[in-house]
Amino acid sequence: MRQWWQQGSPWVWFSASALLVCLGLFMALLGLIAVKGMHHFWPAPLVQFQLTEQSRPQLGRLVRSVSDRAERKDRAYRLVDRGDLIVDASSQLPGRYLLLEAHQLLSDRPKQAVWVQLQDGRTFYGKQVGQETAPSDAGLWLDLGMAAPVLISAVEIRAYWLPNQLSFRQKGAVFWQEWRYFLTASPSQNQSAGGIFPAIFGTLVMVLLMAVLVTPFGILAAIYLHEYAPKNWLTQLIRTSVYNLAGIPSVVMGVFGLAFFVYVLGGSLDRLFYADQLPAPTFGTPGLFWAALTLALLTLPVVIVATEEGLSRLPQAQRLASFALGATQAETIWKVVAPQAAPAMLTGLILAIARAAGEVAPLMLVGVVKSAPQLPVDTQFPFIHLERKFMHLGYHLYDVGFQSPDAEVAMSLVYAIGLVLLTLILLLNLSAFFLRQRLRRKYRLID
Amino acid sequence: MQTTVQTTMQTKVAIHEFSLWLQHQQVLDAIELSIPANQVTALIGPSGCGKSSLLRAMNRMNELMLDCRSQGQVLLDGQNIYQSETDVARLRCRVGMVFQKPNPFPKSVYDNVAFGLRLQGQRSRRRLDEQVESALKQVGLWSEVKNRLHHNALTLSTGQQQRLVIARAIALQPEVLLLDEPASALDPISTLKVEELIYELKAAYTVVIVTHNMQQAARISDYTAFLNQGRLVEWAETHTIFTQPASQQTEDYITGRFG
Ligand SMILES: Nc1ncnc2c1ncn2[C@@H]1O[C@H](COP(=O)(O)OP(=O)(O)OP(=O)(O)O)[C@@H](O)[C@H]1O
Ligand SMILES: [Mg+2]
Repeated sequence: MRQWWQQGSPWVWFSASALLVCLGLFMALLGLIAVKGMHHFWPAPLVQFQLTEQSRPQLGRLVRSVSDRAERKDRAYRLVDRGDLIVDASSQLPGRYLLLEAHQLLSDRPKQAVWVQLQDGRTFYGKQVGQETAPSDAGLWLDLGMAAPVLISAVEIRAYWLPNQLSFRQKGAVFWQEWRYFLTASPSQNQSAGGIFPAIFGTLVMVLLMAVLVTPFGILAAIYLHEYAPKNWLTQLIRTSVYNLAGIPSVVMGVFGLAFFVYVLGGSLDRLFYADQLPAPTFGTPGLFWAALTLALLTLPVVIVATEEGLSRLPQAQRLASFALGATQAETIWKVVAPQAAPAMLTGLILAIARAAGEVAPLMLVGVVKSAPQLPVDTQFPFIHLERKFMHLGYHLYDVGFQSPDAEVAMSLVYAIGLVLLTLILLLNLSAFFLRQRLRRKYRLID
Repeated sequence: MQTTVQTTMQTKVAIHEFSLWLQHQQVLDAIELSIPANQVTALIGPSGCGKSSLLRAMNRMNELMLDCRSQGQVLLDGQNIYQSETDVARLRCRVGMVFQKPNPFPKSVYDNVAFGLRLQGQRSRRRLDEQVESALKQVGLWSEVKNRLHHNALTLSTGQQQRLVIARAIALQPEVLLLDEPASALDPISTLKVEELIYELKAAYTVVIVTHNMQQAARISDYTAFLNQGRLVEWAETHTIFTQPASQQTEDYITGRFG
């Protein structure tokens, strides 16, 4: 036992278990988001329920079971989504989501239960009237549990299936189709339906623009700090300050971006170049460019720190070799130092992207909106519209999850958006990562 | 201090009263030394005595070190290279240097040798090819690397790297070549090749070589300078130093009874 301690084995176990706990938490997080996010698109069976003994059976999607702990009676409730509601004067409708007691749920899962979504994003669950497997030319007659069947015209229908009849493979096909729709369509029904394409696109454009802004600045600043600046207390002070910039809360950066970039810089730009459009602001209002610039400022220290680290890992002998061959300092930096520190610069970029893509708070102040009428990039000159407001996945997630009136509809959607955001960040990072691997193989000296 | 050299000899590099401090520690103390043109001068002395520093003084590499201060003159063809108007990059093209530890760039073998040439503005692919080939042939590396010219130079063995950095330096055709233990990682055959190379180079270049190998110094050098603790103890024609050294210290060092 003493020997076991002396050999330092406990430390191996401690550190290994710490790692294991971290990994476990990561896996739990990723697993939860992946499973819940995927679940959003898997066609759920439709069940039948009856509000009162006398009322007509209706169809709904079983969301989950809720057990009433407070009363300690173990009364099980079921949360059921009965879809969007067609309001007619005769019916008193209590809302889209219903909390039902077990006896209100009928055991029957009718084969003709239809899931139908309209172009505008409204979803209905109803029983098909008649036997056709596809909507006729006129449209689809649905029994929505109201006094009479409702006709939904064919042009209005976006998607349509009979979930209780689908085989596993067919469900899979529906799953992919819905994913594709989610990734490529615009949101509808006050963000609760439709897709998230504008948000994906906005995030991507904003992050790339941020990368384009922060990379040259960060790298040049790091090169100056490490290669040119005299090594004295002033340089050290500047370096420390830059490193500490990384600790500024991002929302404070957002305030700065709004106050300085938007109002001061943007306001001046407007007075100089867009005077004819005043008082309607062009750049003097939150927009894509200011958001990217604010995030660039936020991630600048990350790039500088990573680049400097790479520069200081480069052996001095490499610089001396270059000088000894008659290179000037500039030639040494561009031909020897910078290429070999490129992997480190990319590391900085990866970290910057990871940070920027997940940042929401400052963006709310400098350019992100709940829903933007236009994409920031289109076919109209000048193609990329830096002054436009844009949508962002992180903000969209917040908006759907916490600003929508219907928390239930949001739940699984939030996971789906989270999954997309995670995947997007992962893809951005992976591409930078592979670029870095290629560079590393090229310059094998430093890792 | 002994100076037993005929004054008729043309001096390429003259070092006058040169002192050097690195990080507030004196490394060279009032060195007075002439490097004759088209001759091989060997610098010998115990480890840490300042041989590498003295070499670096001749192409102003010391000033790239942290906290360096120097005093005195180094004249290249009668021009003080420590004047403020000296073009240091140009100076280092004229005075080439090979470091104690081989330090090839993590680029291809070809790009390593062509590095200096490209800096000089050589853009012609054909001329570059020729010059790279001839430099590699001179150091006896051509046959070993001609099929992997475009492989990363760091995949070469240490001995090959050592010859590569020599090739890289002589590709620029410097007037003076400073070699800091160029054969420390070489097998006897490669060592012989490098020694032959140095012998050939003598015709066109002035060579200063640091070595810890007394036989090597005796074999290849025309003049030998013995340094100890930052001071020049003795400087003379090589056979004089090895047969009748003026100073007891030198004799002890050469015969291996030192310290
Ligand atoms: N960058 C530096 N900063 C401070 N001191 C240094 C530096 N480089 C060398 N020195 C010191 O200068 C002295 C001479 O070093 P130098 O490298 O010239 O010795 P050397 O004769 O080449 O030794 P060796 O035979 O081991 O290569 C040593 O005492 C060393 O500690
Ligand atoms: Mg040395």
